[in-house]
Amino acid sequence: MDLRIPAGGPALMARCLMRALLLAICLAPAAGRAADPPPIVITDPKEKTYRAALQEFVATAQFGVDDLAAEIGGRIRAGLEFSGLFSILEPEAFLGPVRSDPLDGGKSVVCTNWRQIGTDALVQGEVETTGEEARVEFRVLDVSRGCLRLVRKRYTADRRDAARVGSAIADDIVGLFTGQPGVSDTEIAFISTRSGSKEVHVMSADGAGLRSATNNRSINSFPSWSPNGQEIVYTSYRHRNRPRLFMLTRGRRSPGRILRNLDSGAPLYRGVFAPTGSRLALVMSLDGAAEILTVESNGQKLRRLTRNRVIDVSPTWSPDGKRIAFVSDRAGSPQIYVMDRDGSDVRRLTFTGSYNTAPAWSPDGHWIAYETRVGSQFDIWLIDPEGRENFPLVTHPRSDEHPSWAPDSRKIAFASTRRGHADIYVIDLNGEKLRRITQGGGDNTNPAWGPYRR
Amino acid sequence: MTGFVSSIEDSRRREFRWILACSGVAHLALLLAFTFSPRPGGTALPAVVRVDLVAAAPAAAKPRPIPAPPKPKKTVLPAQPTRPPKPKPKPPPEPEPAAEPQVDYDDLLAKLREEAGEVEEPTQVAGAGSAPPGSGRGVPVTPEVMAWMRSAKVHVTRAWVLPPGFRTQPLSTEIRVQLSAGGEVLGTRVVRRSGNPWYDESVERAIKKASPLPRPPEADEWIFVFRPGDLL
Repeated sequence: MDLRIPAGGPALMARCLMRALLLAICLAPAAGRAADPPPIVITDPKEKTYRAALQEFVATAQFGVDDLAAEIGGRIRAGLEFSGLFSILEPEAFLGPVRSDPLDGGKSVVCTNWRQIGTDALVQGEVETTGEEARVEFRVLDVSRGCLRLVRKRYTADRRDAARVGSAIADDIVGLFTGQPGVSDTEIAFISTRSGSKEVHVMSADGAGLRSATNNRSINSFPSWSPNGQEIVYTSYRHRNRPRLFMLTRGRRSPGRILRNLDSGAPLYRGVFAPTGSRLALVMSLDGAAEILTVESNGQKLRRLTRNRVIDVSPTWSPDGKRIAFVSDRAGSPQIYVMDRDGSDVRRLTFTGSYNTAPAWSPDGHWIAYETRVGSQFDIWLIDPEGRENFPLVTHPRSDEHPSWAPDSRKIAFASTRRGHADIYVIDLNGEKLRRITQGGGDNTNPAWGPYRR
Repeated sequence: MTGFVSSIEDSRRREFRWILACSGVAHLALLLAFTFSPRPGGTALPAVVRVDLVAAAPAAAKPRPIPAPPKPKKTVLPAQPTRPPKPKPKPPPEPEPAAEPQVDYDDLLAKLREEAGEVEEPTQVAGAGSAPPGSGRGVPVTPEVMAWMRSAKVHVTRAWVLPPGFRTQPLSTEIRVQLSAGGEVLGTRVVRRSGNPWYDESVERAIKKASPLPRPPEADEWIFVFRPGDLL
């Protein structure tokens, strides 16, 4: 037997090994990728609302605090329900204690008790009063994530105003789960005839705490909030029965007339605060036609933006204060237009409908809500500022008017005559969760949703 | 002459042995490569593969960006705007705002699908999320694994809460979930963020809330992609 290695042997072996190695190198990454199982794709969540368990806040000091704790709890509940993003678990379903332990030194939370009843957010807190001051401290636990503490925060307030803290807490909770705080602690100004004349009224966004802000027995209209929520400018006929602008300021009793230096006799129909700074957009009658101007709230730096013989009214600012949408009948019928804040670059926005008015620019800048006439009444539509998308939000055989955005851009307030007299309603941007927030008492119109209060 | 011929045959036979040896080494190398690489749970049957193109993840998640605005739900909105403005008699006042029942066929369809236990076929989405567009490589899965993935999907879907504001935004989050043999969630790792931290948290919450999942085919790391459809 010949044991000699043939001359071609080592070369052939090397070639074979090289090929094997190459093959292995080529296949190795593919084998690694194939190791990942295919992903499970989840596309269709079944739940729209988180479940909150609200433990009664424990009163840690004086007599009478229990009532305050209950009131705060009620406001948290109402605020979360108003958001439409939370449902509240009833205390009867709790496996854990109904009342919160003190936040320091209390028993540790048994997370499984809350998990078993499907809780997403567990809210605990304590209330303490010292003289006229109330301190409310709360924390929110994310039950699904092992009772992870999302926040612990303390509010200090005048005891008479302490219930409001409940709304602020509810808005905080909404913010923790969605990134955008709720709006239950905001206010809506509107015009009501409940006292016999058209007066400015103010209420919480959910309709609670309604009170009148003017009582001059004249005609008052078009309330508009300053960006910090400390003032409301409105139009009143109380001075010589001519339209003039007045300003209400928090903490001051009597409203003051503003822009007296513009008092040339020309009617001043409306003032709208810019969302930035202290500038106002005005509607004035000049040369026999309604025109749009801007001015500082102290009357300085007046600038005329429109100059023609047609009607230009209803200005609304973009959130950056650089553009203004308004209504003009320059094309023969009232339509929505957009211009720069110096009056340049005027563009027509709406081309459908024969009568479009009352534009309101959303605080996030993405939409302009407006009224469009259908038959003899109005519906509320949305259009984006570039005019690409345009569709109805509120339609009803009766009139829906004066849309006004919540500061979170998730809700819109409007006035509707669907029950005969006019009431203020609130609806979510997706067309759901319509609710009436005024309960009759004359006609309630012209809602103006105020900014966040913090 | 005979000796010469026999020596040629011997030489060929030796060469043939070398080729045989090389082939053996190559097979051994391949066997080793497959043996020591991690395997997906029980892959046996080849399957049809479709590749979904998934948008690239943002380069870096921005610190708490403001979420995009909720897009109004168009499907439930009625009517055209451009009705001619003819005056019509006012209808009698209604005692309560009339809430008309609206049929949302998409919801209905989704419900029927769920009742039928129908889910996106796992084999059809193989490679989605992890592979770059166009380079997807499918992974064959056994019917058992497919059945488990289907029930895991139903289970997690039920645990996922997504408020309306998020629903129509183009968001996608990929999360890797370590499961025990009994289906307990042992750990999670978000491997591709959506750009919206609150959305990512909702995903993490859903996985943890769904624990324990149905018993998986094996204790392993499984991938979930949360991508809300725009027909919700």
